[in-house]
Amino acid sequence: MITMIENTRSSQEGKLSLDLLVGLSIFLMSFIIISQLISGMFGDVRSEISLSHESYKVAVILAEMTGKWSNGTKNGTDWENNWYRSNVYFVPGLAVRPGVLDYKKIVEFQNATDSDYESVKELLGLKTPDSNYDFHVSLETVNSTPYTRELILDISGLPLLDAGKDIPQIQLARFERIVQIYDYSNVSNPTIVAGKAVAKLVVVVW
Amino acid sequence: MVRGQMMTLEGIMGALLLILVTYTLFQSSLVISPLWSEFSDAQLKQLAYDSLRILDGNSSLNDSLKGMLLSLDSSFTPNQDFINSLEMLIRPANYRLEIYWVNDSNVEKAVLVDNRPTPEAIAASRIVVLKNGDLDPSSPFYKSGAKSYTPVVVEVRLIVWRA
Repeated sequence: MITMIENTRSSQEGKLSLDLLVGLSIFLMSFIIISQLISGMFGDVRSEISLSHESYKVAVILAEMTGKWSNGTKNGTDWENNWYRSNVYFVPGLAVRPGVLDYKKIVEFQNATDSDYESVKELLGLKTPDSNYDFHVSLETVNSTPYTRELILDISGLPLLDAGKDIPQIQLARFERIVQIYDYSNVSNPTIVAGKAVAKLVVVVW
Repeated sequence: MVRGQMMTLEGIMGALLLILVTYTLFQSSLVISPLWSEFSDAQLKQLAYDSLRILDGNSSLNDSLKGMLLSLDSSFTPNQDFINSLEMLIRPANYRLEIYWVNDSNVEKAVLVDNRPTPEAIAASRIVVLKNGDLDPSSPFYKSGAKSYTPVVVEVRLIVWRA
């Protein structure tokens, strides 16, 4: 009996060694720490990319689409004359044709955003059950930069388009389009290139 | 006799190897970062296309694409109004400007603004149609013997990169 017990004690077979436990716990600890660190870095890059896609999408909607409205029985592309009526749904495109913006649509987009920012955000596809982005849209001169913004002004000296929330100092995505303003008689000092009044449509999303 | 056991050193080495592999895998799945740079390329490309579209205006204007092509001679130097307008739209980016057209059955090429692009440069192009009758006989695009309404097609290629 004693010999049997001694044999068992001295046997090295089928045991879970403390060494293994130490090694495994070091690995697990490091794994958890590193995976958390990396997923944090990864998440940042990913959100930056989706932000850029959102800003591109909004820039295309505004610069290339005429927009649309409907109240269930009637519809059309002149949303600028109908957006404020009850039970009207609209997509706020600013173009008369791709790259050429309509003065009235620009003014009404500013009005619509000022009167109900949240619903314009929803109509531009920036607020869904999965995501919620804020935006700022402006028409700037071709010499404008993110640090020294030069807005396009109307003849009364007010910005033609400077809609949305104030741009915060956080991670954001910016997309620019060079557009033509079709009927620019109400624009003060337009920049004329090849006979066209040009401006930069700047979309910022965060 | 020691059998079937993992010693501390082996455990640590194994852990380090696994961490290295996991880290490398996560790093390589950041192929997303080239997409990020592609996105800034997309912005530049869009600006180049928008600029060409804006410049494609009335042929009577010196700073339009048509006006510039009509005034070209064999020296292939674009007029200064056109250069000023183009630079106003795409600066601070740097650019190179080329044109392509068909002469008989050959595709001819001329470099109007000869800057050397970087490997990250992007290209945008626009097709401009001129009428033979609008061209001066000294123009490189002029087709002698062709009717005045014969179309002359020129591709304007704008290559842009961040300075």
